[in-house]
Parts: sequence; structure tokens; C-alpha cells
Amino acid sequence: MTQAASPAIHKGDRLPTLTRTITEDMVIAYEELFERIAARTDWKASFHADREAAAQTMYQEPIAQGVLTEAFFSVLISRWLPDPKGWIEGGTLTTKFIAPVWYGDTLTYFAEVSDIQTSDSRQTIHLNIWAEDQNAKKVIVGQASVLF
Amino acid sequence: MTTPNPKSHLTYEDAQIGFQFTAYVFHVTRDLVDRLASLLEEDLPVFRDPTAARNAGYSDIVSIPVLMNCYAHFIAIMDSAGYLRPGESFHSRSGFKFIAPVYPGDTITSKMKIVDKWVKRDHQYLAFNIESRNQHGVLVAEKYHASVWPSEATVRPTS
Repeated sequence: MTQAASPAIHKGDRLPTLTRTITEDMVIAYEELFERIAARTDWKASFHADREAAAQTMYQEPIAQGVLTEAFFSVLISRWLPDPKGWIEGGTLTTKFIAPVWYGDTLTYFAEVSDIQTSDSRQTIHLNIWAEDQNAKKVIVGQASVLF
Repeated sequence: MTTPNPKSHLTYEDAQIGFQFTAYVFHVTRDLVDRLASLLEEDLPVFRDPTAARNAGYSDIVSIPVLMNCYAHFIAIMDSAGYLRPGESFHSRSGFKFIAPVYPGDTITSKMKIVDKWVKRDHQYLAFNIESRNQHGVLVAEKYHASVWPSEATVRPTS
């Protein structure tokens, strides 16, 4: 069943955008989370954080981790919600990476309400999401959903 | 396909659909949760302030859901199973479902398997599903992850 969501949310609504510059430090810090997860210190940096390794790839320069660049959609969406519970417990995120993100790129994250579905007492808000670099080139596209 | 020892690169040719990696267990520390929140500049109180989180109905601060989507998580699962990620594998697309909150102190068990492989426009792709449960057996997250993946001939060291 599709219908209007709460009076404040309508199909076609745009969320406030979020802008982040992806720095080399950020990429390295993200990669270093491996040490925290794996409780290891003997790992070797991947091409994302190692310029020599990156030189051997088809991009020849380091690019940011896709999962780092998409992680900011979580910030975009959780800030928009009156209560992030519907994101933490029931959110979905599907992304496609369509262009590399280089050190120093400034990304702007967008989301637009594409559908509102009601089932029982809950509403699911569907969003089209995308990120553009400083040249307005799309680098990530996808969909997300949150429970209300 | 068997788990190699010592570690070797997982190549496109070696990968078999249905292959299940060794279950990976890791502990969610407060430091990890804080670091991810700081890195993403996520300042919502439920992710940063224990008191605010409790007032919102949680037992402690909650990890940003994408912790379970972390690049490091994927690499750690492969690493523990005896594989290195090839130097030229590039993330192509992903799907993620956030199901239950993850807290500092949780012990997460993640199971990953290869669910698809294909060739498109001269690129080879591998796709993985990852299912993560907490110490109570509660499913906290599901992930689909597809990457451009090199063949044996093109594998290069990751560093």
C-alpha cells in the first residue's frame, strides 16, 4: 500500500545535502580500522592507502574506498530523521560505484524521497541517493530505505 | 576450493560460487565505535553520548550501522580465512540491511560466502554475502558486496 507519509514527508522531497572532502588522512584512518577489527598490527596497506601499490593498478593513483565514500549516506540519512532508530534497525542501503573518488575530491551527498509505503503501523520511506564530486559528476548512485 | 596456507590471493578463477569462508569473530570496542563516528563526523548523540543513547532507549552508544559495512571488516574476514585480497580488486556495488543495533562490547560473528561471479565488458566480478550476528545469535546486519576481481595472471601484491 502506497500513501502519503507523515504530513512532513512527501514524495519528491529532498533531504538537506551533506558535503565532505575525502582526504588521504581519512582514507588511511579508515583503512586502519582493520587493526581495530582484526586486532592486528602486521597488516599491509592496500592500494587505497599506498601510492606505490596504487601505481600498479588501472587507476595508477590511490582512490578512496567505496565503502568509505558510501558511509556518509548514513550520516546524511540519520541526521534527517527525527529518530535514527528507523535507520539503525531496519534501514537499507544499496549503492553502485560509477566513478573513482580521488584524494581531495569534495563529495556532496543527495537523497530524494522516491516512495512512501505503509504496512501495518509502519511506514517505509524509500530514497534515491547519489553523490557528486566537485565537478557535479555522479560518483555513487543507489537507493536507501528507512522505517518510520 | 580449500583454504590455502600460507595466505594466497583469492583469484577469480579460484573462486567458486557457494564457497563459505571461515566464520569470523570480532569484538566491538568502544574505541572502534568512537573512531568510526569521528571519522565520519557523525555527531548524533545516540552514536556519541551514552546518556543520550540510554534516554533514546538503547543500552549504550550505538555503532554507526555502516560499521558492519566497513572495508576492514571484509578484508578481515578474507584474511582470517587465509586469503589476501588481490591488489586490483575494486568495489563495484553493495547492498546492506541494518537489522539490529551493535554496541561496544558486542561480539560479532560474520559468515561470508561467494554468491556469484560473472564477466561483463572485459571485467570479472565476484559477489559475496555477509551475515553478521551478535553474541546472542541476533542477526544484526546483512551485506551484499560485489567487486571487480582480477584473474590469476593479473594478481599483484597488495603493497
